[in-house]
Amino acid sequence: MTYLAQVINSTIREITPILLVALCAGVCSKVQVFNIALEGTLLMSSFFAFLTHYFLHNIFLSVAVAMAVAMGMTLIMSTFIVRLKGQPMIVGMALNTFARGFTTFLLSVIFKTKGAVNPSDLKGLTKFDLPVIRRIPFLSTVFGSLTVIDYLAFVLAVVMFIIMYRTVIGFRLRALGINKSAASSLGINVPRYQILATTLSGSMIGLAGCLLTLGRNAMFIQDISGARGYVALAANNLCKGHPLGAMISSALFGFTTALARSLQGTAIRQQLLQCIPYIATIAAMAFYNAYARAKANRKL
Amino acid sequence: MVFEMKHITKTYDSVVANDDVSLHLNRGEILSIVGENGAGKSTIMKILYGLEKPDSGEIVVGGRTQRFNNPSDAMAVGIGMVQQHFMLFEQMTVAENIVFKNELKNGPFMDMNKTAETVRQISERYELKIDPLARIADCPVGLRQRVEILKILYQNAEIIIFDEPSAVLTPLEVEALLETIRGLARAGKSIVLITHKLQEVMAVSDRVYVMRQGRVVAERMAADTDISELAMLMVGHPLASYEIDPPKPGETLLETRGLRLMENGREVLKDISLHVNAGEIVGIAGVSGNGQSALIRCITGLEKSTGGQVLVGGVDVTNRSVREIRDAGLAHISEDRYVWGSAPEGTLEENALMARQDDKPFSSRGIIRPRAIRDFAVRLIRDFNVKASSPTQKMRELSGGNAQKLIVAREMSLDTPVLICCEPTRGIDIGAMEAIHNRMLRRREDGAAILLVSSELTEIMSLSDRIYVIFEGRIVGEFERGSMDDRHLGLLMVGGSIGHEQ
Repeated sequence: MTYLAQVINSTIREITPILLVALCAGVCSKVQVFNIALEGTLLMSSFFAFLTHYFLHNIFLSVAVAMAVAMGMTLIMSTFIVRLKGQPMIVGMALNTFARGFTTFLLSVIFKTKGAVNPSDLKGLTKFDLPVIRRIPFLSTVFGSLTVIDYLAFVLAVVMFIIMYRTVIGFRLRALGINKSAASSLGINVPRYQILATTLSGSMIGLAGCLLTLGRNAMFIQDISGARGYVALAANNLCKGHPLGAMISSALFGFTTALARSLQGTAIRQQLLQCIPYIATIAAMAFYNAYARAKANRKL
Repeated sequence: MVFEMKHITKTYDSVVANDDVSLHLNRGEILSIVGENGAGKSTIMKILYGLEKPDSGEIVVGGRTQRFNNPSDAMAVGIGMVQQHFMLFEQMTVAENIVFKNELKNGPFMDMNKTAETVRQISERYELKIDPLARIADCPVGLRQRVEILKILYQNAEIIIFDEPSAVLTPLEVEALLETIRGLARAGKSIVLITHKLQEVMAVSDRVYVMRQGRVVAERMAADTDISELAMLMVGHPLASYEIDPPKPGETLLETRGLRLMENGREVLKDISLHVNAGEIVGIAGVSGNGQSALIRCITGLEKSTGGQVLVGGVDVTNRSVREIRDAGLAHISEDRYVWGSAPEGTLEENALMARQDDKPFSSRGIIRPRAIRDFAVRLIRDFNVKASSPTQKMRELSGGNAQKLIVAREMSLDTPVLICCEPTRGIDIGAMEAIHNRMLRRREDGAAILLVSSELTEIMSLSDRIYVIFEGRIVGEFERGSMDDRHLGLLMVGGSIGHEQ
């Protein structure tokens, strides 16, 4: 029973960073900016969250810096793609490669290590215990030691839904993503909308970055983002950019990752276990596409 | 007078698109501007709508000289334009499309109830029936155009410009459109209609400007002129009408037997049997989307049929590859000149070579011979009077009509017994159209079997020796030349039957 509660708890913690990144990916895909720099953005922001916290011991400042770095990365990405007409694939790969090299470099320069930094005296994000639930045995474990940002992720999913599907600005963003030339023919400055929307939504990757390095204890490991950016991209693909759908698709990937982790130490080979989230990604996409096609056929 | 344009001149590089053009529009008037492609009629309207800036000249709207930097400026003084290519958000609703940029708000939120209600009111006021909550993706072309019109009305336009509005419509939709235009004029709107379809001009306009080579060459009251005079003014010389000898009976060169196609669980072709004989042009008449494209794709090998046979020159080529079918003696002028008919990014030479890259003298043992290709391309360009600056120019730099001429030249130069012509003159001017029609007739004289698919009923009627009418994937009628008038044909095309009409 406690084991189950722990699995659910670790699932939630796996879900939230993916969800936050997927929400950003959702905005990017709605405004037709193909962003695969999510991975690099996540890595950079998690590194700088850690770095700020390490030197300044200020959690609010760390979160702010992480968000700023993520927005900066996203701004570079969208400026290159939208204004300078760069190939999205190339721009994204360049930023991802840069992020990896840059963080590794700073890691070795500042911390003189190539692996992990795990200073024991540094605390992570403040844990937030729900008032009533912490007294109920099972649920207290399920919702145990989650941070404000973990809860915020789900709130943001709902907020993003309201912004994208209920407000005028969201309406314009969705519309210009469907037909850029129609939007600009009515006097909308499409590039400006695209860059602003992607950059602002990039701040959510910053929050995800904080969860990675400051979620439990403060620590940084080389490549700590661990392909979560790509997984979020897949999750977003699965829900077609819908923020509420992103909760479900992120949950799928969060669950498989947590599953893989909880099976560690069993007879199954480590490498096979690590494949599970990615196999689930491919399977989910294939399944979903087959389903969508069948639905389209029925409609005809 | 609602607007006046005085002495507008506009040049692109060295080409003069508008040369000292002056025109005006009166309140509640329907004004047509006619001319061939490249005559400058679209340019002058783009200038009026703020999409282009004139080199010199003056635009006066509502008594004041205006300077438009973009369409929003033109919109602000009440000028709206229904573009030829619709600017719509497919996955959104009619109402959402109409209010975009001028949304009805409730704080930061969309007020969807008020939006739908407002759109409903405008649609009722101008008698443009539409369901505000329908998705654009589910609307046929005619309704989409209606949305474009409503969009402009919602923004309180007083002057409405229509750019080739009937180019994409079926005959019935054209009727509805012309009625709409009349209704808008009655409601006090002033209309400018850019078109090269003279029947429509005569049907709705009060006044007509004719443009040729960037200049206004004539101004007529519609009541004082007729189609043949306008056509002559447009082209600069009298129009040829085709004199066609009765067909000499020849052997069957193209035949389909019970051809069927299932697409996404839907039967798009239902038991199509037709034949085309040597020395004969056979037309397929139908509202687009009734299986014409599918039929041609199955015949030419672009798609595998799910039943029936295709025979070219008596040889069964059912579901063979495009290459094999072409080798059996078939050439194909395809429906979309930039998707199937050519490589827009390729040079004219490369486009001329297509389909014969493996033939002598253009290549030998897999090595291309540039000299032979250049000579061939130059010959096609000269033969068909394609207006191009060089054979190494890119295909997409040619105007639509000239690109089409090159494709027609290429396919006809193959000298195949069977020639498929899909929309051979879609969106091109009268001069180019005449040239292509004459070549088709010449190939017919030479004994080729020609299958013609066109959404222009007049084109089908004037060229075909025999006509098949297609409706919902089925052949619903077959007629010899002269045994049918366009009204009956039109009725069959929309699924009516002749007996029911009286």
